Amino acid sequence: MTGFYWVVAYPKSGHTWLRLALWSLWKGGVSIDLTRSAGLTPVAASRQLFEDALMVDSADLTADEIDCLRPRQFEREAAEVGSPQLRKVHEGWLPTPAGEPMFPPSVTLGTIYVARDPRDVAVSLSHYFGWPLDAAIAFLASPDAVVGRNAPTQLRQPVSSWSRHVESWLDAPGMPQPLLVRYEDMITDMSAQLGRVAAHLGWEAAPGTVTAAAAACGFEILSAAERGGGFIDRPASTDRFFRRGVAGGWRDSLTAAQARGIELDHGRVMARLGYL
Amino acid sequence: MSAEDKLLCGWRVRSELPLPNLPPWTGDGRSADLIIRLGKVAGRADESASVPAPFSVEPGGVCRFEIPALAAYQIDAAGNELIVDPVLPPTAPDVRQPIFSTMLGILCFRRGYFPLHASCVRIGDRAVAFAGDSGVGKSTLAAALVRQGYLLVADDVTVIDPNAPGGPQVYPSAPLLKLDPIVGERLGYDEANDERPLRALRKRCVPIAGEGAGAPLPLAAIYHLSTVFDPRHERCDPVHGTQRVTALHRAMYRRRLALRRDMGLQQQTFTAAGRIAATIPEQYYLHRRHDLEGLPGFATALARRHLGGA
Repeated sequence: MTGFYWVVAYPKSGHTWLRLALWSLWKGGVSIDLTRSAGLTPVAASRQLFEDALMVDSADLTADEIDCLRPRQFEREAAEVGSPQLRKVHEGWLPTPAGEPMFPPSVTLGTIYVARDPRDVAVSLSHYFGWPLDAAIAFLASPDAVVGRNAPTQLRQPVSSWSRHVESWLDAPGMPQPLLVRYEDMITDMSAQLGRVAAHLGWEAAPGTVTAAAAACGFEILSAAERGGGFIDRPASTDRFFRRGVAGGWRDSLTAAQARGIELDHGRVMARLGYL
Repeated sequence: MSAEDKLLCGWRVRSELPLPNLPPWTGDGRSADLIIRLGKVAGRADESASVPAPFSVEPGGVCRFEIPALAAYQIDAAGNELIVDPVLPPTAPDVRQPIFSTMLGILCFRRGYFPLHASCVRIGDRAVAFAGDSGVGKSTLAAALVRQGYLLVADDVTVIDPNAPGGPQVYPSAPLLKLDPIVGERLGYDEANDERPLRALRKRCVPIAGEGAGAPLPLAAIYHLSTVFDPRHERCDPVHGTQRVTALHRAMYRRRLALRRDMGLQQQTFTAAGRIAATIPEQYYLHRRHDLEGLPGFATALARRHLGGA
């Protein structure tokens, strides 16, 4: 069986945390070394993976030409690799400029969608990119929101607005039913959420191993490890990656008007996910 | 259109497609090693997708490459002839750009050369290459050294002849640097000299005047680059033992192409990697931040190290 499990999240929604937990689980519940790259879940938008799959130099293509070729990239990768692959995805489930899904149902084995309260996402985005909170809130509402433009090793990733991102993946026609994992539930009980993810992936993991992996990526442990030796994937734009690890922190950071603005922009989808 | 003879990677290239960046051929009276023709490239037989994958290997080993709004390209199984079927005017820089990237990789494989995914400069009387994945900073480091007066040998594809008399040699390729606009500006590369592609491409294409005509060079070192974000993770570790071969093979340009059964290149490229790895004095894993401010100083120190050892 070949194809992909997409591990999807809007930026700053707990993606990296789940990715580290999956790595620990894959390795049998071992502790996590933040100073080394964990290669289990490469970024779907890796420029190198795109070039390897299609035998093309991305610098010879326009951004639209690259977007149009993304489905071909995944088809080639699925055909060439004999086992299921995990990919970290920020993009929305959106059409390419040529009108086909960027992430083809034909090579999709499953989707794990990590969601987080957009009020907390706004605060986290603001810290991560060094943006004013109002800019982060505007980003969450923008249908044309894109990440990856300034990451030289990555292709641009159209994410669209927070609401559209959620619905594009959860309601994607022709795709297998996604597994929804809420960041807030990972904070409450990572072990339970990791068990759900493992089952969705078809991994046979003993309960003790799941518990060990969840414990290995406890937020305090990761935060302390980052203070001690740094985190290999921490971008230059932020001092600390594992910053707070709480749900509802937006209450200390957003004004009432800012929180209300997010609720107006995204209320329907927030209610769908239990955030309102 | 009349053909003109140019020099690329030691080959005599007779091209109907204008290649203004390449130096003229001034070597012996040999017949052309590579002929570039303008002509029709036939459609591919097996493609049903609305947006076809750009690359295919056709029956008989012909390699076909197409970017629909730009051009189609076709290389024969021996790597002696490249046909270009442009959609844009043949003089557009966009049309020739893939000749120095994807096409050059295929030509290397077909002609028994080893294409390293690396940028390369001349320091002293030897070549130093910076290999790594796309976006990791190969061109940036080479560009910093070129600003300090070192000669550009290659950008992104470093062409090595593994069977050269006296040991593997690097052949200078097109004297062009593809640069991130921010990097180009910070390093002081004047945009006035840039190529002007007709399509909106992400990187600047900067001609480096007067280079590309040099003699082949032995390789002094390969640095396998990776990006880190934390200064505590910056380090430079020597590559030891059998990793010298695997690191080199992994750094091959268009490695997947060499591993395809229908290309028949597996033995050739493994043998070449072994031969090259055995003769390069130094290989390193270099983990470095994308630190433009510290780049000139880093480049100076790196060059001094190799000059001191020359």
